[in-house]
Order: sequence, then structure tokens, then C-alpha cells
Amino acid sequence: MESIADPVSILLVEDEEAILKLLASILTSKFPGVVLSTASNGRTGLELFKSHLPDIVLTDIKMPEMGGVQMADKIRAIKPDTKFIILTGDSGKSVHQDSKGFGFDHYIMKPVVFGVLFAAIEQCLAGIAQQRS
Amino acid sequence: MKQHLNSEKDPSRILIVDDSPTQAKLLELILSGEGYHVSVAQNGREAVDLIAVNRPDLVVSDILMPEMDGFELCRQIRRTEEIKSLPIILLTNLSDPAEVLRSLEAGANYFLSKPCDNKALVSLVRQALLSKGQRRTSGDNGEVKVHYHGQNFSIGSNKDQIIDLLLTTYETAVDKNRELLNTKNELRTLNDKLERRVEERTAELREKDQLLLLQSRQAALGEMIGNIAHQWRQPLNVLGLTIQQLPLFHDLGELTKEFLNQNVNSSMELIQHMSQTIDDFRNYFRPDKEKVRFNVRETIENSLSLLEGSLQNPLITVDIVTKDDPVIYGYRNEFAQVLLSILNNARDALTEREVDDRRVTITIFTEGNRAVVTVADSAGGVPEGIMGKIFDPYFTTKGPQMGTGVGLFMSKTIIEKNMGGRLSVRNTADGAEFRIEV
Repeated sequence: MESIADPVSILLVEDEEAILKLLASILTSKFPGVVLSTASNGRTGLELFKSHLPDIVLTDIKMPEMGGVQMADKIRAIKPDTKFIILTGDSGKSVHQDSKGFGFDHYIMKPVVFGVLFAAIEQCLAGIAQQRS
Repeated sequence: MKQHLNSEKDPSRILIVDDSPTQAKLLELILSGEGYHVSVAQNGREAVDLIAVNRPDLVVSDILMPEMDGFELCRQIRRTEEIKSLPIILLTNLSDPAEVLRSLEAGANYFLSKPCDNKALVSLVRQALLSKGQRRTSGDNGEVKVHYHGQNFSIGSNKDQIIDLLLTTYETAVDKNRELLNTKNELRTLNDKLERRVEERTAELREKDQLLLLQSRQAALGEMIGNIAHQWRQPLNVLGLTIQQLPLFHDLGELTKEFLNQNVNSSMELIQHMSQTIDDFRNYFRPDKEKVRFNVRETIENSLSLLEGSLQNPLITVDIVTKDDPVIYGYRNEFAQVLLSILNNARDALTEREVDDRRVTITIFTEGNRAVVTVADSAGGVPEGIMGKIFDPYFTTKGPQMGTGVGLFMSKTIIEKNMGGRLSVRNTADGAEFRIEV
């Protein structure tokens, strides 16, 4: 799979601190080979992206300063093949129906079910491995 | 020509004296319809001339007329030997009792009230013509002096004449009285009807009020559920992650006793918090039984904590400016319900209009002996066209699933009717500003 010299990196962006901490802890345990960086809003997420250029971006949508979709649009302009996993499900309106949030690789409903989240990440990892080989 | 009931060979001749052409025409129509020969004079002078030529059997005269009035006409007739026993009916509106005396003094025989009732007119005319033949031309000539309301009258009429005139006066009064009674009965019926209508209407309004109250409760309940959903979403998400961590860490061999305890503790904390949320909402929506003293700032802060979730998500910044720290005597939960309604409206306006800088500023101060709270948003304000309607029941700009249009109506009722205060709205440079004064 991924070569040791060039580990896959994930950027996790979530404004709710408790969720950010838990997800970070879960992801490092589940995917020990992955490099994880975290941000609590779209603006710092974008800055981190520019310096780290991660392969996968796992992000919440509604956040202060800059939302997830807005950040994703700017990231795509920098690196179009970035994989996105969007965390949704805070209100009745689904992001799938929102044209602005359309066309991402994966949508994960909150409350997050590990099986679904892990499957999405593994699919992204497999895709990245394929691209690299 | 119709044969009148008075079976004389020649129809009787009647002279009508009236300066009003309509009134004269009406009398003429009625009397000629009864078969009498009718002629018309416009005033007393004309009448005197006509009488000399026509020799009528009866004169029906108005009182107030130009050139020569009814009284003077009577006097002239009584003074002229050939016609002194000619019966005279005076038309009166019976506004002054002195008129009776003046008529007697002038020598009139009968009174008839204006406006004329057809039947009364015909019957009086018949009676006057009938008694004409029987009338004594000479009677006791003793004059009677009458002093009435500062005026002196000397009445030289004979008894027949006096009795006839008084009788017709009395009849007129009886007629008027009957009319009055009828009117009174009609009024009573009308009044009963109105009372029933008012009762029905009141019952309808009460029903409507009840419906409104029910709808506002349902709306508040809907809001409450929405707010609980917001309040619960985050802890539920965290709880989901925390619980799923257990089997994951177990499988990865990282499940220590310490981790397990920590995990359970944080889960229990979340559960306690969620339980507290429900209690808060429950207390909050319990109807107030009696007025209490409550601190305005604390009540606002509590209301905001209930709204926390639903204001945080669309990222609305709420500032509280406390210039004074007033206490209100009134219904605390109702007051909070008003705040919730206004804040919910502000939130909906801010999100619906996709305002970038979403702000709500709550200012607390006192003015005289009144506590004032203003809630100002940055959503651009209430459109001028609907400014006058926003407190009307069932008025809403939101879709049917969003608003029922009773929130602000109930708010106004609560503040103004239940607490004797004032709730108003105006537009500022940034948006709408609601002002609660209690």
C-alpha cells in the first residue's frame, strides 16, 4: 500500500472541540500510518492545507470564519485531486441537495458511524495507492 | 269619482291652506281620493280670497305660513259673519302646548298632527263635516282668560269648539303616544337582537382566542422541540464517538481500565447534560401561575442558553448590553417566551437573507420606572409595507412549515394585555429593533 517514505496525510477540520479530539484520537489509533493534522475552522484548515498539502480532507460543513464547502472550493483550486469526506447532518437540509456542496467523494452523516467513516477513508486510501502506483 | 261615505248629494268642498307644495299636494290627493272637492291656497291671505268665492265646507290649514298664518286666518274667518261657523282643522307638530291655547283663541276647531296619517285625516275630516250641521252658532259668549307661561290668552270660543279642539288635541297626543310605544317596542326587540348578536360574537371571539392560544402553544412546542434538537445534536455526536471507541480500542488492544473509566465518565456527563436540557425546557414552558419579581438580565441569559444550539449553528453573535439591572414584576416564563419569539424571528431573518455579519444586540436599561429591553438584529429590517401587520394574528412571511403567524401576536398580547407594558418595532440602519417596555 502506501510507501513508508511518503505516508498518506489527512486534514481533519471540525469546530466542535470534543468531536475534533475524539475523531483525532480514533483516526490515529485506527490508521497509525497516516499523518494527521487538525484545524477548528475553514480558514486555519486552508492555511494548514497550503503548508502540508494533505491527500484527504475530512471536514465539517458549518464552522465559524470559513465553512467546510467554501474551504473545499479553495483547496480544489490548489490541488484538484484532493479527496474530500464531508461530515453532515446538523439540520434537516441535506448537503446532497445543496448545489454548493455537491460533488464530493464521500458524505458521512452525524452521528458518525465508525464502520461508514472507516470504509470511506479506506476507499480514499485505495484510490491514492492506485494513483501513486 | 269615488263616492265618499258621507252621503250628501253634492260632495263637500274642502280648502287646503299650506305653503309647502308637497304637503298641500299630499293632502289634496288623499282628500280628493275620498271624493271631496278640494281646492288649495298657499297662505292665509289667498285662503280668505278663495273662501269668499268658493264657500268651502271645511278648511284644513297649516299654522306657519308667510303673509298670513293659520291663526290669523282663523281669526278672520270667525270675524266674518257669513262664514264664522266654518269648521277649521289646524295642522300642528304639537311642539308647544301654548299652540293649543293660541288655536282656541283664534277659533280653530280641530288639531291634526303633522306629518298626516291618512286614516286620521280622513276620519277627522268626516267628523268635522258631520258636526258642521249640528254646530250651535250661538253659545255662551263669556270669555275665558288664560295665563300660561307668561302669556295671556282670551278665549271666546263656545264649549263645542273647545271640547272638539281639546279632544282632537288629546287624540293627537294618544296617537303620538301609541307611536312612541311602538317605537319603544321596536327598540326593545332591536336591543334584544343586538344583545344576542353581541353574545354570539363574544362566544365566537372567545373560541377564536382559544384557537389562537392553542396554536401559539403548538408553535412554542415546535420551537422547543427544534431547540432541544439543536441542544442535543452535539452531545449525541460526541456520545456516538465515545461509545464506538470502546470496541475499536478493544480490538486494537488499547482498552485499558483507565480508558474505560474515562470513557464512561465522559458519557455520563453528556447524558446528565442532555437530561438537564430537558428539565430546563420543561421549567421554561410551564405556564406561569402568578406574577413574580424577576431579574430581566438573568431571564434573558437563561433564554439565550436555551437558544444556544439554534443560534450557534447559523453562527449568530449575541451581545448583551446591560446599562441597568432592572427587576420586573410579572409573568417570567411569558416574558421569556416573548424573547424567544423575537430571537427566533431574528435568527430566521438573518439566515434566510444570508446576512454575512449575523448579529443580535440585546440592550437592557430603565426609563423612568419602566424596564426596557431592545432586541436589534442586523438582518436589514422589516419591509415598510408589512410594518403595520407584523403583530396581527396569522400574519407570517415564512412558509407554512416555518411560521404560524401567532408568535409576535401572542408576544404583544403577553406584554401589553397580561403585563401592562408595550411592545413595538422600528427599523434601524442595520435591521429591526424590537422594544419591550414593562
